[in-house]
Amino acid sequence: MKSRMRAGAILLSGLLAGSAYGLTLTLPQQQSKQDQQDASKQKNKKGTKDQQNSNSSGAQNPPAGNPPPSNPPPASNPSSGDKPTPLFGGTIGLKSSRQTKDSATLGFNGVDPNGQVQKSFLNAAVTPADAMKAQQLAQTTVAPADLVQFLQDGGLNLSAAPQKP
Amino acid sequence: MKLTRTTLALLAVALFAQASTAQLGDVFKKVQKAKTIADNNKPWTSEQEQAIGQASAAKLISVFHLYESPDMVKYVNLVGTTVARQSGRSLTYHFGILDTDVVTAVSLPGGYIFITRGALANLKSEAELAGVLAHEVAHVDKRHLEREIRSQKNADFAKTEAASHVPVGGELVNMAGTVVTRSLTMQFSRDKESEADKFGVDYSAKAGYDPAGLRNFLQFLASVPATPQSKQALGLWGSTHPPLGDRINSLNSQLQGFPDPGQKLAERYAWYVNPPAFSRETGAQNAATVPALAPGANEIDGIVMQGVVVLNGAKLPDGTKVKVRPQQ
Repeated sequence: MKSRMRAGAILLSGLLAGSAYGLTLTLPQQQSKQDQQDASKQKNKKGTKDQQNSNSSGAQNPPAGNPPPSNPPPASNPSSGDKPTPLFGGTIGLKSSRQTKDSATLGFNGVDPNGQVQKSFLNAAVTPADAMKAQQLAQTTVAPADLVQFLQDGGLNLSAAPQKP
Repeated sequence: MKLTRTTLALLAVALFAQASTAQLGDVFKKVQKAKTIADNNKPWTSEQEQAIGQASAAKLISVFHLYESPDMVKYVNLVGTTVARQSGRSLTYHFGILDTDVVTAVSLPGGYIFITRGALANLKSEAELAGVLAHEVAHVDKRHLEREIRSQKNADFAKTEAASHVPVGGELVNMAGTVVTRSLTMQFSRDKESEADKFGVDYSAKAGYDPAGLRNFLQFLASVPATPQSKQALGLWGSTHPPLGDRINSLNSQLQGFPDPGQKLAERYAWYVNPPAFSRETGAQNAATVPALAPGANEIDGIVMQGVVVLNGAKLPDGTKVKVRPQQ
């Protein structure tokens, strides 16, 4: 299928920093050479997919600034310690993020073909559920410890501007 | 005759009283008007701003709905807070994601800031996200929308003497409707947009981000070909913001004063947001898609972070499978 591209992969470099590994994914120029190996690895496909899903919803640290931070290696991660890592498994999904489109509506909510907000939406009454979501949003705050970690990982400025009166 | 004199006297008194009442009424009206003007020139109190902001947020959510991905919402709040803390205003900001393909960002009083899923799908880096959010933070910091509402003579809240109290009930609902309608259908003045761009870039740079993030995103928007889909995706942005070219030119001038490139953090952005996962095949999306593999190329650089493959800016068809083996 056109939208599906099978690719072989060669690990180029080993451990970069902590759990970070370098790799290069190759296009299937060597497809015929690898077909046999691919077939044998189909057996592991389902199990590896489960592993990927587990990783996608897990609590790993994200990649940070440049260079990547030194995160603990996968083996030391208790949430994934018992499972084979995708790096050494069979087929894995290309999606590298924990985000999938499953929870998105994929649509232009509220606007007409010109991109303008429809009056019917503007005139509609706010539902209790919407009010509740706004209330929950009002309680959404960033934990100071999370923020510090986030800033450090990204190589961002730890100090804030002095508060205005 | 005596009766007639008494009647005339009473009539005179009545006429005098009526005239006095009318004069007093005029005076009272003038006092009320002066009070309203004075109230309208007074910034909303923290309580007023919070009440109006939260009610407006509910109204906006009713229009577009929320995209409720806890990890991504947390990420957007982390980036937003990172730039907001450089504004110096003692205000807790709240960042939400609107579940629509429309590409835009909206700021409301009280520190409620929203970015759409469509915008997130077309940003390339955390610095660009920071630039967009910082622009909206600057609108809140400078009370742009509040000032426009207060100067709007026919606004329900402004035309009453209610400006001195925290609105509730129907008054709050009407006020929220005014705020959201205003923010989704009208442009800020050119001065206010320039001010938001200027301070937004400043906040981004002070936070440690590449200050060119906002400019880069605007350049992308300017490059999007005109198609029915891009018209629908970008129509709201176009109707609520000044022409892109003018803003890009101004930002280019401003950026000359920021020699430090700052952090782009494209990889971290891709890890959290993964734009292709929820973006549509819109004109904007097509323009954003740069094939990661040029014809003849056979490699994609990537990195594995704790077992998760992160490709360096690669965009490939959804569902593409790859196989990874350790080097023998």
